[in-house]
Amino acid sequence: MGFNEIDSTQFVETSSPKSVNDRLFRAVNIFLLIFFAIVMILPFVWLVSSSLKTQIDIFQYPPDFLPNPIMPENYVNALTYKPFGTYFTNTLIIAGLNVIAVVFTSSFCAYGFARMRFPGRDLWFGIVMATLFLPYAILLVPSFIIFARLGWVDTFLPLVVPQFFGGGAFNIFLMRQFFRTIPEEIADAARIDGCSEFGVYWRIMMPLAKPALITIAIFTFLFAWNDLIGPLTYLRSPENFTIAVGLASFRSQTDISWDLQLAASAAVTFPVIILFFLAQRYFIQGIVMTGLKG
Amino acid sequence: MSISRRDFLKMAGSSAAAMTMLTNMGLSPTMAQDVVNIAFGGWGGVAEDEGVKEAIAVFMEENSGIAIDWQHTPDAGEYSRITLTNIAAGTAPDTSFIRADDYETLAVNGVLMDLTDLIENDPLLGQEDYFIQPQETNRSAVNGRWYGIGSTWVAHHIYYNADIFEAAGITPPGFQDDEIWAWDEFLEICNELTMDSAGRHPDDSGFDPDDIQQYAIDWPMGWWMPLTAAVFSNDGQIFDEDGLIVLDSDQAMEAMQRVADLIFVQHVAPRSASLQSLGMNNTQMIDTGRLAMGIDGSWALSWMNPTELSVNMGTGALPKMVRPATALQAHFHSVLSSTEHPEEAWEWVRFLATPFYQEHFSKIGLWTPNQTAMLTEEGLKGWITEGIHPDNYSQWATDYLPAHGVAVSLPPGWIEANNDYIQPAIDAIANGERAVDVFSDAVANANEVLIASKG
Amino acid sequence: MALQNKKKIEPEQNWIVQQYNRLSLKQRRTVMGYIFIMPFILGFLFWFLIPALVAGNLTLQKWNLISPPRYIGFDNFEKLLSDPILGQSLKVTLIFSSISVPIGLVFAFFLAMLINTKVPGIAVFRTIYFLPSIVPAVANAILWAWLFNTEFGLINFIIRALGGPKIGWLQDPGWVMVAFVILTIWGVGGSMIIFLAGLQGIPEIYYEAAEIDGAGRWAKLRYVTLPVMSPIIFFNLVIGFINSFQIFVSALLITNGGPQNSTLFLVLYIYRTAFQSQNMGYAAVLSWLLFFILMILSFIVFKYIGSRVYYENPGD
Repeated sequence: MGFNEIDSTQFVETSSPKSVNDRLFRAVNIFLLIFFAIVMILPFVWLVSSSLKTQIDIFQYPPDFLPNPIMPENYVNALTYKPFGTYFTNTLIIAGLNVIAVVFTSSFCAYGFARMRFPGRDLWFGIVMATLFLPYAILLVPSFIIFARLGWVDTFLPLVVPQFFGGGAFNIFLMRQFFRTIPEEIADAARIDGCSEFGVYWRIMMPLAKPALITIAIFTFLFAWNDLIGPLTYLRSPENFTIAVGLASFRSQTDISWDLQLAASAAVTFPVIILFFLAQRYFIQGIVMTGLKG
Repeated sequence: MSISRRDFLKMAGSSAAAMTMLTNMGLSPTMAQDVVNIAFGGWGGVAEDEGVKEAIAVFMEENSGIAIDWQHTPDAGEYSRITLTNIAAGTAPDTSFIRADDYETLAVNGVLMDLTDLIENDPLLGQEDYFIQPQETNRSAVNGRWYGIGSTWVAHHIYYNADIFEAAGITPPGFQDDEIWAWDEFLEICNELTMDSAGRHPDDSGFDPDDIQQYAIDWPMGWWMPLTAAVFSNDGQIFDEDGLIVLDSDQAMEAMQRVADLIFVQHVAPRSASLQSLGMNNTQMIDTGRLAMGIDGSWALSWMNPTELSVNMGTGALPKMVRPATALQAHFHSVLSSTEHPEEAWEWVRFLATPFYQEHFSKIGLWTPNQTAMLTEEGLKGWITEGIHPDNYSQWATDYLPAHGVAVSLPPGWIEANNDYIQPAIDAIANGERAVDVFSDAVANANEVLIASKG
Repeated sequence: MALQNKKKIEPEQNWIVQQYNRLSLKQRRTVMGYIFIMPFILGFLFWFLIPALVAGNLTLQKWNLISPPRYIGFDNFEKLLSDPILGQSLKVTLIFSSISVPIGLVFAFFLAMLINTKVPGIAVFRTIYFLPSIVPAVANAILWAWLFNTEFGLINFIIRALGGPKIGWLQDPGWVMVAFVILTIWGVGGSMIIFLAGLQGIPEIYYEAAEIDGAGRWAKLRYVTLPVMSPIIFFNLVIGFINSFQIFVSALLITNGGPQNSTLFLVLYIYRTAFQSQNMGYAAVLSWLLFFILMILSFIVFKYIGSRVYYENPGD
């Protein structure tokens, strides 16, 4: 089928024996790896170290990486000033529903685009791609007015329901790419056995698609987790707020609690870091399998 | 005049005058005994959020028939956007904070309820000297009618590090007329207070402007308000009688140039960008001894006060050019015309205009009163807090502001004109360009926008 | 067999299935096809087409959200042609895009190769590299605004420790663009992961074959890796382009379009026009303009670069 072992190191290590040249190269490789890791993580380390400082200490100059005194209370204060527990739950619900919606509907539509031939298919796929070009923020006001007339303001509905209708061009695109890598013979075999098109989709394609589905699930989850504009526009009551909105609570023109804001920002990032760390194998595997090559 | 809260509220809620007034206006007050929900939208940081909630609790205790639903958004700009969208969709709150930038636009478009008669006929608010005049009318009246009640006054002044002044042997500024520095005096003092790491002052030879350890002054140029204080002080104006911008007048440009020169010519001010949208300010520079004086709004007292800072601090007035001046503004509390419960909405907005509401925020240093009742000896006791307000702060409220505060009202189209032309011009001089080079074009373009907005 | 099937079906379904079975193969395929893509079509209708039509209608109106809209004909389009702020906005967006996309792409590819190594704990490195792209927008803005602070920022501190000058990152119109490019490149984690997946999907055989032909490291890169990766590079290029044109939240939070409108990217300008200047009609025109610009640019990219992409499995 052409799927490869993950974790192979085609570029760096070859099948030929290690020479001095190879070892040198590998050493440089590792050096650069560590160097850039430091560069990339420095801002975040700074964020965390500052989040443990007092307001005054944050602005010491010359800057100092070690907080003195260390204030883990910042985290407690930040997360209790606004009910982050509620925000967490809300965000989880919204993100979870988004993931379910996207996984099923985008694969459903993508199957149609990838495996079926019918007039107008390419036209509609072109439209799918075209929707990638319109920024989220642009349709905000017309959408808001529609949702307001429907009475959906201050509910999760505007943030969830649209995802059930295809789940977004990006996801449809990825799934379509994936489905196209699966040989036609498998589907034909199933059809000969009397399987309907839905059956082929549900019983054959979907199980094969697990890695790709996990990939789009993770992308969708991350987007929903960090989404600010949507919740800020549609959610009114504090009980309904998401984490992103809660994070914005500390920012205002007449007062800023830097210590709390930094702590909240760091705290909000931790769950997604853990999620990515645990899921990265599937994540990468999934993208490989979408066969972006073809 | 002092009045107990009980008496006040008794005069309020069942005031026959208010009822008649509303009936005459054609709005029938609700007679139902069930709880009426009034939505109240606004913004603010942690302190404001808490303060409003407390005020709501107090109000609801006395008015069992009204429930206030507080809709808080942290940032004022975001709040403005959300409110606009809500108005468009028909889901606007009954009452709301209204930014000074939006006030006139909303008023002339009929979004805000006309409160003039209600105020005039109110036993408390309708008194002639209830508010500090003429500033209050200057900012509240749109074509002679009031569409909201100003929440407070806030204006810029100096916050200084008292320890630095003491070490240098210089008398810090104050609020009395003889304590306010003339511009030349101010420049000399700044020179004294600025040192590079070798201890040299800007007028010493060998002074290194790239290695300044201690700055004398920070005069923010991240937005228009602190800069226009300088303009007023130099006898300039922001707008003329027709409502057009006149920041390209000689006096205005000279004033703004002088402020920019503090950075580039005298080298007594740092180049820290006041990133207003993120709330970055000069507090920490003062607190760590890197800045002798910082200019910020009076609201900053809520965090730049003797209790919060680790150094000794004090407050004083801005230096004067031709005369002492500072720019005054604040947000309004208004009733939206779309409300279905105008009577209850008015009750709430009215409450917000009473000392009991203002006191709370004034105590923590966030607000300065716009009501004369709070400026009497008795009234002052109600909000001047030791540990928050420096010793001379009552003078700021009683003497300086009424005499030298200039109220600002912003015409429709100001936001666009400012975003597109005025603020970029300010950015330019904050980056070293000359005011005379940038402001005439900027003002011309900005005025075109204002004229187009009148249509 | 058809008879047997019919006996098991409910009466209502019977009619539908009957109708269905009457169709030709081609017609059946069409029906099925559309059933599958129906969710998208409906979604497109409700959440795209109708709002887009409303936005289209808006282009002919003057509406400030708080009063009823008024028809003003083509005035908004006229303004389009004479708006100096729009010119500025287009300029900075194009500059930003043309600088950040290529640099970002190269950097992402480079990082992907770095983390495509068998090193113990590589998962940690991958997480570190991906991390910046998932920091929430507000946190990101605050972090960078403050890293770039002229007086206090860590970046200026490092520069000055190395003997350099104090740079007004967020006050100087020239430097602020560099600042935004830097912070954008810090967040290339997304494209990097996609590149990584691509690298891992290259069959070992290709490299072995190249070695047999005597290819060294760089030759392998040039003749095997890059060509096989070209569809992915192309994909990331297009996505990168589209995303760079839509930069908005960081510009809003960090500089609000300044200094001197030098970070007034197009989406930010649209947002400001809609919600601060309260000119919905003109904002709608600007949105359509952005849409067409992206379509045209993508068309150009597809036509001239797309043709150079090597496809391993040329599809249908």
